[in-house]
Amino acid sequence: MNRSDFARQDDPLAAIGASLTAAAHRRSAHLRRRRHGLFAAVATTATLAVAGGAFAVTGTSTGVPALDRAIGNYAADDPWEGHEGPGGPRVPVDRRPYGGLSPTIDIPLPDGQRVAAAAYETRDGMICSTIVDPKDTTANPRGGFGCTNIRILKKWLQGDGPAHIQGGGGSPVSPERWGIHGGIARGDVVGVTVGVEGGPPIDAVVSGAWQPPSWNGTPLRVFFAVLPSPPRGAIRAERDFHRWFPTVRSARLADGTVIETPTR
Amino acid sequence: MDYGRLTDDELLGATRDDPDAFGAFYERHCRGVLAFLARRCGDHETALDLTAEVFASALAASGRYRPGEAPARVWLLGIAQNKLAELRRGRARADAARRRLGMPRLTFGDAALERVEEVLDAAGSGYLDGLGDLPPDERAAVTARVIDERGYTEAAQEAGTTEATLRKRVSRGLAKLAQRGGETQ
Repeated sequence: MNRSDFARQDDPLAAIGASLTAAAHRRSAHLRRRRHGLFAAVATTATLAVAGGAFAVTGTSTGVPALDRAIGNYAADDPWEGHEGPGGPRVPVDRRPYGGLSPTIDIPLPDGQRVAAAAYETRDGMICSTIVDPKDTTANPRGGFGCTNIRILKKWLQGDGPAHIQGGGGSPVSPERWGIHGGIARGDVVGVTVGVEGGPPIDAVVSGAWQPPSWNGTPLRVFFAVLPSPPRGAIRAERDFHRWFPTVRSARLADGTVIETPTR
Repeated sequence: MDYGRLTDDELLGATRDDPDAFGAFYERHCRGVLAFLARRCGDHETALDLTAEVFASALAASGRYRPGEAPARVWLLGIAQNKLAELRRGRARADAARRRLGMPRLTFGDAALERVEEVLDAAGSGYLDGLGDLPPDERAAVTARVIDERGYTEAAQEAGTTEATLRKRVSRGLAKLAQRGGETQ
């Protein structure tokens, strides 16, 4: 369509059409850049993996191939982009990243093993966080996922407290020994402690701030805390599950203020 | 390019690499969507705002559009119905898709709102309301499945029929809508 197809400049539909067409051009250019960027990112991360396994973060890749595969972060021309099915990615198309990848976090476990984690906005309007074993070379890496609808997350962070646990309890590495719990915090939160009932507060690993595309508030951070798994047989009833599921104990803000948060 | 020769499916399929194809898709359907929304909102300014949001959502989702089950205009109708539902649930004027695409929110003066009246007069009632021409059982089935996005099982239970029968009604209804769409394009 030529933009002049809208004959009347005072036509509101013409104004909307011009705005949409401009947005379509921006989107097309963005997708082209993203496609080229992903090729570069894949080449970069492959090199770094050989050099020693460091995480290289770009705007379009987590820098960890296993993590990209786990969350369905495919290049625009990847055969699995937009597709799912038998033998293909586990993550549904709508649950793949729309953009706004958080900085990737390298989480050391007490036994020296490591996991990689990141958060991202999905195409269906969720903020999800995922942990994987970075050494996983399978097509479908085992990952732990926690997802929260953006509207609900806003309600939590604006009304209930600055940091909230989103999900977790498992680990792609030694799950019988460790449970990794992920959460989302406001951008001004620089430290988080979590703990189970009757247990000590545990420091979480907190990411740098990032801005999901559809999040209009302050930037967000994702955090992960590693806690020992419940002993075998410890969870026999629902009450036990709640006891062993950690809650946020405190959030430390950038200005030094410490907020004792309500539990969730 | 002569976009007028392309089908809706072809225009949406070309959008990623040829953004003007989406402009042609918008030009083809904007008046019908505006009329659909204006009749349900009763407020022309809101209808214009939702029209912009519907097409912004369609643009953002165009890469995921799969030709097949429903004609593109029924797909648009589903998006429009969802936007209306969000509005009725008390959400402030939704603009998430436009924000995501970096589109400014437009404001319209009296002259522009009068123009909506002209569009409504010209659009008549035949576009997306073509649903109304379907037999009641097919209309209900298409509405439940495509617009309200209910599962076949749930929709069949509500209609008091079997899932197989409901599937046939949806299929027949969509085929008729597609045929009528083809006749009017």
